[in-house]
Amino acid sequence: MTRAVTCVGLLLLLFASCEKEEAVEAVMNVPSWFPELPVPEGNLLTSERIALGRRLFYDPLLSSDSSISCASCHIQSLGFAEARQVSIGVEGRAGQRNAPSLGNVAYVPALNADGGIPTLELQAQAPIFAHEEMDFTIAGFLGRIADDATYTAQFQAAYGREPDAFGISRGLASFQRTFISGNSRFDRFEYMNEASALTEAEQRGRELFFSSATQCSACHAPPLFTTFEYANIGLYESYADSGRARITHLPQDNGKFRVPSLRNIALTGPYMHDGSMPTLNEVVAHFNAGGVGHPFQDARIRPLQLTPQQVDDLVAFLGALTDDAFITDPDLGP
Amino acid sequence: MKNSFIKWAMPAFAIIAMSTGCSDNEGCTDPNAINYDAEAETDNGSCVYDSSSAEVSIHFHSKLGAADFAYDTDALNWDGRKVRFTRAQFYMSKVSLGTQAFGDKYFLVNPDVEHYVLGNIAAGHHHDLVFNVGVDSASNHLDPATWPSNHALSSNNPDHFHWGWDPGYIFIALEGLVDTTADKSGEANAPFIFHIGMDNLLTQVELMAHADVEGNTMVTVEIDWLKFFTNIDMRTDNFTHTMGNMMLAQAVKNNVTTVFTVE
Repeated sequence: MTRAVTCVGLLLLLFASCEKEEAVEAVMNVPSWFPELPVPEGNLLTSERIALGRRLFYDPLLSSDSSISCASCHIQSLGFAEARQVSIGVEGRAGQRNAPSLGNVAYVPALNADGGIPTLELQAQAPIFAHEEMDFTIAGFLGRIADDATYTAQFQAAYGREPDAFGISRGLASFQRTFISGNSRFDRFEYMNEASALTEAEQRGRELFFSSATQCSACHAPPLFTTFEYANIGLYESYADSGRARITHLPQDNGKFRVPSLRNIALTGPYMHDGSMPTLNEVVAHFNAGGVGHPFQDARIRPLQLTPQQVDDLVAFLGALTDDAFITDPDLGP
Repeated sequence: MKNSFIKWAMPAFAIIAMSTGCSDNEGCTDPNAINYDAEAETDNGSCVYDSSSAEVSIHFHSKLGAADFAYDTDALNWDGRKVRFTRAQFYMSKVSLGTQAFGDKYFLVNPDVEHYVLGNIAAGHHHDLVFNVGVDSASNHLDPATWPSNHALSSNNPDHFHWGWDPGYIFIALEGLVDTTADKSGEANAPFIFHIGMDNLLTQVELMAHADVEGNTMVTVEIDWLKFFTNIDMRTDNFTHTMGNMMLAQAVKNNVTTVFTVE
């Protein structure tokens, strides 16, 4: 009987391994106050996939002149954003938009500031081909790593196949899904009952942030500090970048961009889709003024009459959303 | 009893295990084959055809007006303006000859490759050669990394051309240099880039082929790449990524059916 059980066991194991998607308990700490982590069925998280993606994320061989990796524009110490106004790709080519923070990117329902890319797996391929980013091909990268037995073994361990676009895109997506940031002083104050976690100024800022007077949290709702909606915040009277309208072709979507998360926001400047605002004080001043009055400006953007002290308090509160453990987590580094 | 169960079970499990192996769904993917496997995702070369069927291929003869196509070489467009190509390609899909379709096959056509094997169909006389320039909506929005590596739509393919976001594949890519002087007396030295895509710009081409299919058959189709530019003033209208200049993209699309002729 033992042999029969073993046989059945072997068969079950065989079926299971065919799936190649044994979801392991990922080495991740998703806070209990976060929504369930969305992971697509075809790319469940495994430690092998995360490891492959981590290596790829930091590998400049993905760019045509081997000078740029994903991490060139998504820097861990800056909340996986960058300090430049817009990204600079190979040969110094400037992009169109400010690189977004990748903190909690697993939750973003559609990627890019205009929501034009439906999955993280598809997004992972876009910079490789983009002229002003890596300007390369998957085939070119595969040629470079053809003799790298370690890479081949990692692709096999992760996806049971030779290195290819599937493994590259899935691996990169898997690693990025581990970018969970939910351990700021705000979290300790709000969800872990540490009353001393926020300073008095930060607590005043918190009150303002969640008040009906400012309605900040209507769009930047905790715990992720975004509702992922697209909004025109009245940044310009006429937008050079049409934003969401580029995807929907609807005139009323002109100048709409996805509401970004505010987690680690003190680290991710400059701000706005085009990196046009260097400091958080300028950003809060913009909202305090009520926008410039674009025809499709969101109705919630209106003059707030905040005093200079209140502006400072709001900025102080935003600083309490920085997650020091996240930006120094060795598992997310090179 | 135990022993007999094990004696029976072991080989049975082994057979089941082998038949449910870990490889992708491989088999014959050609609906015109007699062993067509609708479940197969990857063609493993096992297709067997009725003895009365024949393999059909397209031979694309790339031209620039009367001359054979050449990259980086001056040619005169419809209004006598010098142009030079550095890139010329399009996706071809949903090919059929007469009433016979060649299944869900996709081809990335460029002047470097003249011969494209369509597959097998029943022998006989077939009138129309029909194909799409572009990628149908269902496939256009799939992740390019999910196709088999040797597939025309796979991002492993070095020539594959995808916007990397929602609009999907760049159906037609024409790049090069153009003379933008008013009197057309200058050099072709200003860049032109026509990247045409999006679902609504898919174009069906119908050609009278009158092909007698018997044994291996080749249909020769001429592509005059200059005809993509007919009635477009390339002095000023020389750049579109479709979304940013839909009018120009539409103008290129309108020319698609004029580009091809059966030789």
